[in-house]
Amino acid sequence: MVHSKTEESKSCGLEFHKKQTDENSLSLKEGVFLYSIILAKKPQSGWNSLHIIFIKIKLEGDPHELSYSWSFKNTFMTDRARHTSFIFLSQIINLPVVDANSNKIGSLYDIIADVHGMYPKINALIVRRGFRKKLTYYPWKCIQKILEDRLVVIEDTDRAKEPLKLSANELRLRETFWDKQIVDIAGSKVVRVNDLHILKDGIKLWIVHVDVGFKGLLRRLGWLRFFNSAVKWLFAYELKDKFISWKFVQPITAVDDFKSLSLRVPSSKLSQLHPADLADILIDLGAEERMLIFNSFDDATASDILQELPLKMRLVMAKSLEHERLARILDETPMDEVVDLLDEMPYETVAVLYKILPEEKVGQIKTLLKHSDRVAGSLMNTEFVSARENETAARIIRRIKKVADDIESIYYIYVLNDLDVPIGVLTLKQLLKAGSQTPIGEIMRKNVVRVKVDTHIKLVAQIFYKYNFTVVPVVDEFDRIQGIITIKDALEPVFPEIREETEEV
Amino acid sequence: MRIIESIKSNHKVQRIILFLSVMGPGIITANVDNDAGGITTYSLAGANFKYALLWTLIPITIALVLIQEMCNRMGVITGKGLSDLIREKFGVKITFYLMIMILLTNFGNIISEFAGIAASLELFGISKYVSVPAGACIVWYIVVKGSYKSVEKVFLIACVFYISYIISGYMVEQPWPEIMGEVIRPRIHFQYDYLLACVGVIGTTIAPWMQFYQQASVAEKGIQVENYRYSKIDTIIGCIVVNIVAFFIIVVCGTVLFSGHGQQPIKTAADAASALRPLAGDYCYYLFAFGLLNASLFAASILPLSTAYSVCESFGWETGVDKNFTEAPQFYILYTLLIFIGAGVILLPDIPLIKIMMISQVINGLALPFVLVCMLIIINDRKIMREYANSKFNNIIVIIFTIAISVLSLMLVISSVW
Repeated sequence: MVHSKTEESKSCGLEFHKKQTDENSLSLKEGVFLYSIILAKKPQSGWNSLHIIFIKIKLEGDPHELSYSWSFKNTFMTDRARHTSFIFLSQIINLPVVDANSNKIGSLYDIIADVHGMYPKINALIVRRGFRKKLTYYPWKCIQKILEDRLVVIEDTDRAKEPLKLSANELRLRETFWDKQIVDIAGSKVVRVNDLHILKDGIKLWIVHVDVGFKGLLRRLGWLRFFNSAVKWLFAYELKDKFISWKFVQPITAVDDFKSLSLRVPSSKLSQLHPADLADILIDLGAEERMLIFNSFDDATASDILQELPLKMRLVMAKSLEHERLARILDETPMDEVVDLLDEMPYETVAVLYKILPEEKVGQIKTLLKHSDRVAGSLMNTEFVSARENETAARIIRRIKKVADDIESIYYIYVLNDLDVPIGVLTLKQLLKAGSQTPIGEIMRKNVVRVKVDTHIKLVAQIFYKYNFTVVPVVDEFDRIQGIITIKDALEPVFPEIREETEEV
Repeated sequence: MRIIESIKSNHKVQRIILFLSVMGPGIITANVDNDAGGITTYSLAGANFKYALLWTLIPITIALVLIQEMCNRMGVITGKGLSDLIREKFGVKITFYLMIMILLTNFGNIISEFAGIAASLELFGISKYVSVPAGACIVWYIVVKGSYKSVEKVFLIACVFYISYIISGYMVEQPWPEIMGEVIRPRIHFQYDYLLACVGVIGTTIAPWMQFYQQASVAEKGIQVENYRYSKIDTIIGCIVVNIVAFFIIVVCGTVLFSGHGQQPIKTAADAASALRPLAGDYCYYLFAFGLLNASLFAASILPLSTAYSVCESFGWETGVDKNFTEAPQFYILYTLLIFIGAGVILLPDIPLIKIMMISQVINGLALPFVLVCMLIIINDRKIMREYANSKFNNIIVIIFTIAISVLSLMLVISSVW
């Protein structure tokens, strides 16, 4: 397709443009193909150069500034090839850095990008100089010329700054990406970076892709040309690049100094993923990165992820969290999961948590913890929807809307008498179908199947099997309701191997 | 129920349970170290030099404990494999060439493991054309179809069978005072043969794949910092046990087979078993043969696994026995190729087995110093290891050992090239 052509050809020449104008609507992959995005906006335009300028402006975050683009027209018309092209980080790192008089200053050690925008713009470089390999920082403005694979020319060398201090949005590219792991959001997995794909316009650079393919590996090793021609000669096969667009890249090693562990890039990209996928990604990471990523989530997401982790790792994470944070996360977690976790935690930590958690929650936890883990009480959740016989359907629907966020299962509504004994049950479906002013006593089913808190878990599972319920209420010895058990919680303990297997997949 | 609860809450019992849950990587790694090549080297050391090389086992044990403990620590603290860390710290080039070396030396070792399987089963009267393909299939199947937990269990059971060497040590009447005398006050010779054997013993006991394997399995097991001391005990026990086994092999061969300096009664581990038969009896013969079989099978399943892990990890390909073929194709292809080519080589007629083993030992010797230096740099990087970086004392000892091992390995390389 056209796309790959633009990437390969360093000049993005006329041929490319002709092809584009034929198609008025382009199927685009987000972010990957910058040229196309711009062209899609102005398909009838006859200006080759205009499009290139558009890209530039787009990257600077202002796609509408037309006057600006016109002023650039002539420069681009004369020498387009030298101005915009794609290069790789490996083509500029370690290049000799010379000043305007061609005196060698040092070698390019790293470049710094501002990751704030959609595509990070490179705005500083680090030069390693002299025998002692001292690192010096230059703002990008000092650069006069970049000749990839050859050298970098800088002027105005007195603007060097040290020590290196990065602002909140800045990243060192080599240190953060080269040979490091990132999360590929689109594929929801952890991959290792071989190289960075950079858009070069004059001296300005933007990161557009991360190279994770075999070709990138060979390029780094310096074997690409040899290997490529060998493969071509032997199998008539062309090696393909494997890129991930910057949009789907979440860096995870952003540890500049080891005292302040923080992600430089907001983890908002990660929040697109399902908690179960996030849990899988966390399992694949090293210990430090795992905590780093985990700590970047809000309490509710953190709680969801925690529930998806295998119990062993869940414990490990819980133990290494600060108590305050753990308490906030637990506050968002269904009771039965909280109890599972606290049951395995050291006593001292649990005691601290009790002090932080809301009092009523602690009361519920303590009740649940009393039950042996082989009886119904250990599986139950103390939050459920209950109602009185004379309440109207409309009123209960209003109530459900209010509490739905905090309650695991809202599908069954239990009707209780004054002693909290369940005398009837109705489903959400029945409730929605009923006339809004109908007292629910009239539509509820009177025979409520229930289990006692000390019913063995095997029996509980059998009851689910027999009656085809998804939720069953739990009562104490005086028949007062204590909580509910969902089918998921009921089947888990009887089929521990099932859970383990699904976790392993 | 009550009784079980009260036992569970007992402090000592809790510690033992914790230890059992952490146990595995250290003991397995160390025991695989006594593979076909190792047993051959020890048997030869005993048969040719009697007890004169026994003392080397003490410094070897110390060095092994220190080095393996470092890997263990890195695995627990970072949760990453050694090749991961090397890639992140030293970049792609160093990692790539190091991995090529590891791949070659491990492949040589794998061939020698299958040679061990063939030789040991020939002692039981089974043709190598049956035993080697069967062995390869068993090894491949266990790992590909098993999960990490079950694989680890099988491996731990295999460790128990090393006792056969210790039993055979007691089946022969031993001159214990003389043996202990040699250990405590060694008479070190400076003859060429003696030094060569000395380097051989060190080289087979401390091998680069061990560091990669142990760290990867510690990371995969997910051992936590608070359980680190149990993991340390696991490593120390493993390293000591492996050298006790080596000790008994040398002692048995030294007592029974030694026939004066300059005499070389045997060439391989299978020779040793056969030579033992008339002198030490049938049982000793079978125990030796069985020990060799166990060691070879065990190492033949670990080495390809470890190699595939390290190589794929460092190039960023998916790894792990818990993944399936479509998720981790490179891992499975490499693993399978290593086993079946390794086994296939043994079935070729007239292969220069001794030469292959020699070459693999040379590459082993070349790679080891690089791996140790990389490890030392990583473990002293406080960005990676935080407060668990090496202490000064630890560093000095390991650096001394590294230099000594490097010099000795270099000597071995030079001597084998000549």
